[in-house]
Amino acid sequence: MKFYEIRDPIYGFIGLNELEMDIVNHPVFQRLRRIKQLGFTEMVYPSAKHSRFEHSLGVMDLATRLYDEIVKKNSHILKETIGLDCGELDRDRELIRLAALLHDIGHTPFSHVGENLMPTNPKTAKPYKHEHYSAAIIKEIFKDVIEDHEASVYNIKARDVAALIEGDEEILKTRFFWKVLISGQLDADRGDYLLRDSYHAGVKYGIYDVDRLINTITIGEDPETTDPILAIEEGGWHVAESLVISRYHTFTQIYFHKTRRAYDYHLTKALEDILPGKKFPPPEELEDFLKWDDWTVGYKILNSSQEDCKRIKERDHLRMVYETPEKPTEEDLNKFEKSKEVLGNIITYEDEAKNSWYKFTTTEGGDVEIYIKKENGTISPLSEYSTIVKEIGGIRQKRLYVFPEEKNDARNKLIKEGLL
Amino acid sequence: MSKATIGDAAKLVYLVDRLEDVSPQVGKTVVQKMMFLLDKKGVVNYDYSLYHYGPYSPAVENDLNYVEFLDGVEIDWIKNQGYFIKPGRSTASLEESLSTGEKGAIDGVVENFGQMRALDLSLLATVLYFWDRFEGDADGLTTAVKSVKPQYSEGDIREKIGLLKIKFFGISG
Repeated sequence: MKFYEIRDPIYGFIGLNELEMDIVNHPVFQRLRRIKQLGFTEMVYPSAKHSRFEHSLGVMDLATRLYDEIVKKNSHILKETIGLDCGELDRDRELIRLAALLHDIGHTPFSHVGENLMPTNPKTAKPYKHEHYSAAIIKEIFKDVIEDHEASVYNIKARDVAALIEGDEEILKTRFFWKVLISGQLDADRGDYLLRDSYHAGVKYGIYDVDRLINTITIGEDPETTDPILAIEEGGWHVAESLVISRYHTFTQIYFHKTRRAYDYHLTKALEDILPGKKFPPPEELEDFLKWDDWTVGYKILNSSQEDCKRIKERDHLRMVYETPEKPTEEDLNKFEKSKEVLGNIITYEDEAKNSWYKFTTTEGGDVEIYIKKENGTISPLSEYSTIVKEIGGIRQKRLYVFPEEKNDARNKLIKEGLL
Repeated sequence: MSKATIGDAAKLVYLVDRLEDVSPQVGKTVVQKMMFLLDKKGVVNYDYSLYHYGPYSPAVENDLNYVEFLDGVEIDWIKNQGYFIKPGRSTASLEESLSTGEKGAIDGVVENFGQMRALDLSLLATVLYFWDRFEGDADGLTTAVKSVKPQYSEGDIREKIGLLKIKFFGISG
């Protein structure tokens, strides 16, 4: 089997086998080159123009290294407690690599911003998530590549790969455990984007010692339920701490930057104007869905005179005029409500960090506590070791935005009422 | 404080308050799984995903941390036992925004399931997660749950199916 290597600024080189390389070269995977990882963050950090393409390669590489370390240290737990067939660990490894490589294949243009315009899933009455599209694309479009490839030696089915992304326990059986590597508290997705987004934004906030993280990852036992959970060996608790701090910094300084969020608003409004029916096509209409990428949306913005499209082109964005602290107290929240009353209908956009915290910094299971495992096998939450972690928690900041031409008027009103 | 200000987090505070007298250990697992039962009853609205440790919502964890910051709950960790969560100094004021109906719905779930251990609630919530998909097919439901939680016996799983039938769905016989 041939082996390929791709140069990567975060890990040096990322290795791929023939099957993986053919997946990467598929036009639907190449579409990820045209979906920026951070939407319009480049309006604030001009070099943050990297795409879902290199992130997907990075997640595959990191997931593999985490998997190898877990297997090396925990074969007994994997077999006896989780019930995995240790004779199939090589197959599981390849399954995880493929799921990691394809986990973002269903992203909308401009990544998470586009998710605001997902149609409603009739089964759940909630909007679809990009994972639903990823699973549908894998099962329909990548089926032939995965199952008929001459380098496919593990008899992995496309539905197995999709199941790991969707979390389909009926297909995965005991392999369901590995979902934690794709979306969990110590998953490869977050591990990669913190490093990659920081690198491309040009900030130093998201940096953590990835080699130490890999070196100390293991499996522990939840004392409340005895369930197996991912944990960090005690010697590595500082790297776990730095991972949490990195997440806090990247969220507050990049993902929830006040100007970036203004462009998220404008882009959402622009997309509503551009998309037929104001929504992306559902996963049942993949051919139509896959026509949408940053280029097609960008072309339409370029040729539109709609107000938000115009403001994007002229960098004439909404202005934030009021915000609470990152963790507002009861008094802060009351002041926020009062500010809303004072500003009335000149408020164009009310933003809340609570919703973005999950969207931008966690995968589905991302807020699970990180646990530290001692040599004697007992575990404790990271917050028992780190007072910083204990205090950080989720960000609940709220903000009010107005049009730039209303900014001075809004601020004067707030000052007059003693709110600024 | 207005109800809209902290939303479902106020219900979480009330839940912890009500669980204190009946639960053997109000830990994070118990809170997660009880909130899942309330979600399925339509009392709260969170997004849950299934893991091998049962249904889990990061938003519940986030709300729990936030109400701790607001002194709505106190959270302690005891070595080898896990979390112990109890009402905080601001519990009463944060609960004020809840209606009698909302409190009654939480009381009902606590009355029926509040005395269960984390271990049992984790299994019960997993059974409930799959419930709709199997529409009364107890064998299929048991197999699905067993694949996620192989450490539990079929007897344990069937016992939870029976419990949910009677106490959650009100199906007799």
